[in-house]
Amino acid sequence: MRPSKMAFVFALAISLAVVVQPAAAQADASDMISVGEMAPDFTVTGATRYGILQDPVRLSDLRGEVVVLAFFFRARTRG
Amino acid sequence: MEAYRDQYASIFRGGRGVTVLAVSNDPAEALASWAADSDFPVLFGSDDDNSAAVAYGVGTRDNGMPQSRAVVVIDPEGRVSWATEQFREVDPTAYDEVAAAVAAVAPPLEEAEDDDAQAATTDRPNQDGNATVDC
Repeated sequence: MRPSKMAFVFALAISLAVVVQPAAAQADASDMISVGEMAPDFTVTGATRYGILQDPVRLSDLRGEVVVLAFFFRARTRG
Repeated sequence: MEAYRDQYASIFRGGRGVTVLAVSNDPAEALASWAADSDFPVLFGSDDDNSAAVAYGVGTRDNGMPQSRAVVVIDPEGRVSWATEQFREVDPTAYDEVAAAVAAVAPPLEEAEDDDAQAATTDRPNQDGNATVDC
């Protein structure tokens, strides 16, 4: 491939990536976990009204209980 | 979070056999101080690397906040039993849906009969030793 052609393909790839990116972000939101799937494990730093927990909270440690996982935007907001 | 607090006993059985885990990418310090100021009984999780949000397909925005106010109910076996991508937090009927989802998979609280007291004590979920259920 000649250098000029290569540069063109490269530029095309970049412009495509820029155009496609917002669509990909949209797709993320609709790729949410579905009912019936095993809940992916994760670890977060735990906090309660009594302070920060020393040990990390691991979802799989809560096996045996119902877990209501509530994602929210920001502390001290209604969201 | 206010509605979760106010309906903690009715919907989430006061935490008996149910853990409400509220996740954002706020620092743990911010979550703990907010929980203390508002007396929230739920467990908060600081998802500072957004790994939980990504794993559940909730996505993250440029500023790191989740893209949606998603709620996921996970049954005692670790399977997703109910999920909504955009929880209508200000709509009271939304909590009825969560309550029904929790009730559908939550283990029974009381043993049916007292004549098998031994079984009742062994079947009771062990919460006392669990640091995450201190609400």
